[in-house]
Amino acid sequence: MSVFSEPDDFEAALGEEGCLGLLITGRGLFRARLTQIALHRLRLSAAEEQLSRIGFIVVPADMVLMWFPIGGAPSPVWGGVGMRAGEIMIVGPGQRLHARTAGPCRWGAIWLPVEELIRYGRALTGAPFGVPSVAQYRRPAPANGTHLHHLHAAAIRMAQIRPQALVDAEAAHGLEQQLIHALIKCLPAGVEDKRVTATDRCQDILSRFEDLLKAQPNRNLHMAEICAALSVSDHLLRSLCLEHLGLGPTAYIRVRRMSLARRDLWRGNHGVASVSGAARRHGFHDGGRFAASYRELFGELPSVTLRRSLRAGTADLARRRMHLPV
Amino acid sequence: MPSSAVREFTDSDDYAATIRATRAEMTVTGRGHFAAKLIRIDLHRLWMQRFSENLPRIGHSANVRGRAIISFRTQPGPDLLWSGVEMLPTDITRHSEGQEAYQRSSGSPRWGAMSLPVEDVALLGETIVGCDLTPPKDTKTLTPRASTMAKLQRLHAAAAQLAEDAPAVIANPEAARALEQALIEAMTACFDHREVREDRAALRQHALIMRRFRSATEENPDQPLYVPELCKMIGVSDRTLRACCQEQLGMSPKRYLLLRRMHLARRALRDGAPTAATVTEIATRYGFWQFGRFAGEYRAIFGELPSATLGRPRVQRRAEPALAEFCRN
Repeated sequence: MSVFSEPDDFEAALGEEGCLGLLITGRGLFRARLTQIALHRLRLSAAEEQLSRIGFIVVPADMVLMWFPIGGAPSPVWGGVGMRAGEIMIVGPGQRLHARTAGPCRWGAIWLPVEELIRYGRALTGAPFGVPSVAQYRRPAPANGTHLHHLHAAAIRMAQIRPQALVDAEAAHGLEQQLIHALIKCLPAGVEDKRVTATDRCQDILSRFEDLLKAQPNRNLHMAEICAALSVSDHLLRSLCLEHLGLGPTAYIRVRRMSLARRDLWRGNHGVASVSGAARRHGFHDGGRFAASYRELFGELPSVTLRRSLRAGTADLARRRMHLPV
Repeated sequence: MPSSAVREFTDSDDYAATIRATRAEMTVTGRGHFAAKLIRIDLHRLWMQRFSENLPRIGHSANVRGRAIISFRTQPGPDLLWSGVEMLPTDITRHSEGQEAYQRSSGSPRWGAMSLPVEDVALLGETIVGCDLTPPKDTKTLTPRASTMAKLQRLHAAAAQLAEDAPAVIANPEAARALEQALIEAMTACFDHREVREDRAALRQHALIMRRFRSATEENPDQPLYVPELCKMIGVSDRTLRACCQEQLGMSPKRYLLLRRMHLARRALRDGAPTAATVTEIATRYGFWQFGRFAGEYRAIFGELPSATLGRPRVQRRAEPALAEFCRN
C-alpha cells in the first residue's frame, strides 16, 4: 500500500496499472492512496483519490481491465459516458481511452490476461466466450456484483493489514480462482446489459491527440496546427474534448503544461533550479501569472513545490512512498 | 468365524473408515456434533451392517469388487439418496459390482446393507430362484412385495438386536448358519419380484460427470479446489456441474467445495502447532478472506471457534487400539 501527496508519484505508480497520463483538475492539496496486489495471473488494485482528474488509460494488447467504483462517490466518466450505479467497466485489450472524475473517488480494478479470461469463460459457460474489443459498461446481477466487490475488498484489506498472507502460493491461487469465478459471473453475455462508451473513431481521435501532445511536450501548440495534424475540424475536436475530458482542448493543454511544469519542479528534471526556468520550459512566459494560476490549481506556490523537492532530496520515488512489501 | 460388533462414533472420518465392503468418505453438511452407530455382523459368507447417523451428510463410497451388495432403509425418515435417486423405505438398491457413487442424506437416516460373495449369488440364482442374482451392470432399485420386504426388515432388525444383546449367539457357528440361511432366503424372495426402476439416461450421464468430479477431488486430497479449475479439469460447464451436484450432493458445487475447504481448514487447525500457524494464515490458505464470516460459519458447523481448535492440544487419533481392532479385515 502506498500513500501519495504528489500527483507525479501517484501517476508513476498508476503507470504500472496502465494509466499513462494523469492530470489533476481539482483544486487543492493532492492526496491519494493506492493498494496493489499481484497474484499469479491477476492484479488487483484499489485507490482513494481526493481530487478530480483526467486519466488516459491504455490497456496492453494481452490484458483486460475491470474497473468499478467503491462506495457512493460520484460516478466517473469513461470515454465521455457517465457510469451508472451498479455498473462495472470492462476495457478490452489494446484499448486507449480517457476516464475522468468530478471529485473524490474510490475505485477498484482487476487486471486479467485476456487468454485466461477466455479459457475460464469457456470452461465455466460451456460456450465460446467473447471478450469485448471496446470499453463497455456491464450491469451484473446485484448479487454477483456484490460478491465481486466483497471479495475484492477483502483481498485489499488483507494486503493492508497482513500482506504476508498473500505471499502463500495456495492462498493466492484460491483468491485468484474465486475472483475469476466472480468476474465471469459478472460478465453476462446478454446484449441488454451492455452499454458501449465512445465509438472507435472518437477514441482514435483523442488517442492521437494525446500522442501529439506527448510528442511535443514543451511547445505551445496552436489549435489550427493540432486540427491539421489530426485531420479534424476545430468544432469536432472541441466537442470531443468537452465530452471526454470535461475541458476544452485549450484548457486541457494548459492544465497539462502546468502539470509538466510541476513535475519538473518536483523531480528537479532538466536541471530545473528555478521557478521561472520551469515556467519558461513549458511555455509560460509571465512568471507572475504562472505562479498565480499554479497556486489556484495546486494549492501552493511553485516556489513551495521546489523547496519541498529540495528538502526531500533528489527525486527518489521509493523514499517518498510509504511502501509496504506485498 | 462368525462375529459381530457394535460401535458408536463422534468422528465422521472414523465412522466412514469403519464401514465394511466399501471405501467410504463422509462430509457432514449439517450443523452440530456428529454421532453415529454402526452394527456389523459377519456370518460365514454373508456380511450385514446397520447404520444410524444424526446429521445430514454427503458420502462417497467405492464398493469392493467381488461382493454383491444390497442396501435399504431400515426406517422411514429424511431423504436418503444414492446417486441422486431417492431410497424409499419400500425399496432395495442392488449395487453394481465395485460401484462408486455419492450418497447423501438430509437428516438422520437409518439404513442397512447386506452382501454376499458374487460366486455365491451366482450359484443361488441358478438353484433357488432361477434368475440372475449377480450384481447388475448399473445400480438398480427394486420394489419387492410389501410382505417380503417386511420379512427382510424384521430379520435384519432381529439380527442387529442379537448383536447388541447377545453377541455370543452370533459367534456360535450353528446359530450363525441358521441366521445366514434365513437372511439369504428373505433376500432372494425380495429379488423374485421384479418391479425395477431403471436409471434414466440423464442420471447415467450425471453419474459420469460426478465420477470425474470425484476423481478430481480425490487426486488433490489436501488441496482446496474451486469451481473454475474444476470445470476446466472435468470439461463441463458451471451450469451442468451445478445440476449434477444439486441432484447428487443436494447442493451447488460452490457450496460443496466451500464445505470441503472448511473441513480441510479444520484439519489444518487441528494438526497445526499453535505457534507455527495462525488462524488467518490457515483461513486464507483455504480460500477464506472474510474472517468474521469464516469464524461464524466455522462455529456453526463445528460448534467452536477456529481459534479454539488451533489452541487445543493434539490428540492421537488413528492409533486407538479398539478402533484398529474394529477396522480389521
